[in-house]
Amino acid sequence: MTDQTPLPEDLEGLAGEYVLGTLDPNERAEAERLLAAHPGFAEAVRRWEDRLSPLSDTTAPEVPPDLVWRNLEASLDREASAPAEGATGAEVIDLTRRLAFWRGTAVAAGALAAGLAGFVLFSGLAERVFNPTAGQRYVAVVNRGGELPALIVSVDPADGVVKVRSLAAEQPQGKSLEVWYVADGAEAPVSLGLVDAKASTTSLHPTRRADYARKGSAIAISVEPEGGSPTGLPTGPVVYSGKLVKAE
Amino acid sequence: MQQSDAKADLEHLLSRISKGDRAAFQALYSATSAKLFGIVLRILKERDSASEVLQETYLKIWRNADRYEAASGRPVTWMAAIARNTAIDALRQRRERTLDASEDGDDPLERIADERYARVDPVHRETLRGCLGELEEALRGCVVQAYCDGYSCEELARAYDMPQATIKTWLRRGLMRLKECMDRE
Repeated sequence: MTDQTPLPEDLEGLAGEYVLGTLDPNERAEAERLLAAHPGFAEAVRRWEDRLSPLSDTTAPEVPPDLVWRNLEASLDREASAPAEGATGAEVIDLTRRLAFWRGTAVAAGALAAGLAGFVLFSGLAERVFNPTAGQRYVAVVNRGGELPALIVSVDPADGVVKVRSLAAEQPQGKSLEVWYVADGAEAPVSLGLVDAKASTTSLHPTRRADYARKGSAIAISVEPEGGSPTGLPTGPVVYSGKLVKAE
Repeated sequence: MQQSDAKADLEHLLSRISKGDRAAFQALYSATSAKLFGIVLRILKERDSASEVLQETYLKIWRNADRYEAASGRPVTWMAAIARNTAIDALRQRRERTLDASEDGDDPLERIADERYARVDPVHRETLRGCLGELEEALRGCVVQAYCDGYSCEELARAYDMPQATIKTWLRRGLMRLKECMDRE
């Protein structure tokens, strides 16, 4: 593979300048296109990187701030919770992709529930956490893939107040976690509000659009731009979800 | 000898990272982040944006570790290329930037010879040093400042008070002469 015919000089120059970083945006885009499509060009780029690499060594190393690694770890955690395209993580769904679904006319009932298959077995944890008083209450233990609960959401149907207790939820930097009520069926999710990043418990205002007693309803948490979804519907990946169950 | 060990170590880490091994990723980060941060900081001049770019660089390394081909060079070169490209993209997006033509006064040619910074095969280093030395000063200056400091053609044109087209010609000529010289040695 190494003894191929030489590239025309203009391509060789383009490859070299790509490595130098001096191409204008159009040329740079062209170089990136060639890089993907033209093995000879990609090889030329690689050789330029190699030729010039001793110059990189003229730059003194500098220890980066700790924050970089911490942010990286947080990104990887998020990535692990939001599988790449095509993967069908049971606990994690991309609500954005599902929006087209809801807007459609004939959505099979239960399709969403299937998407939110992360059925959380109610283990009694919520009682211990909330120590509920008399009266019915609905609780969702919100997590992702078999991990420990990230949030516990409890609803008191009497006043409609939703309490979100943050256990291990990661608040991505510069983003908000938005809480959604998702009915089992064809309706779009209803925003309940944002998780307060600084408090361990957030109380959300009641909404009459959510019927927590409805069978198969669930709570989902999506990552949204700071301040919440600009559209009123989830725009980012759902990082946590859990079904609402009755807590006696 | 030591170099091929380091190369093998990093390659081993990359292959584990391509299978999603976070511990390997952390080890790779510990081993290489100071070098890559030095590179992006020199281009971006500013710790905050350099930190962001470094983060983005390592995410790309994490995602693309399976695309590193052992046959095609050193892992450090591969990672440094990702870092430089990410830094240059960020820089070009930011656009305006103050430019002082004589960076830190240190002659890069001297530093290529400086053992403290040595990570590359010394023969290769000497070859580049010799071939850069054969270029006229302006051509050499443009190539080195573009590579190390991320200067665009426009910025180089301002620094050298020359039309951009001239700088472009210098860069191409400089690169072609380097290639010719290095391929010969």
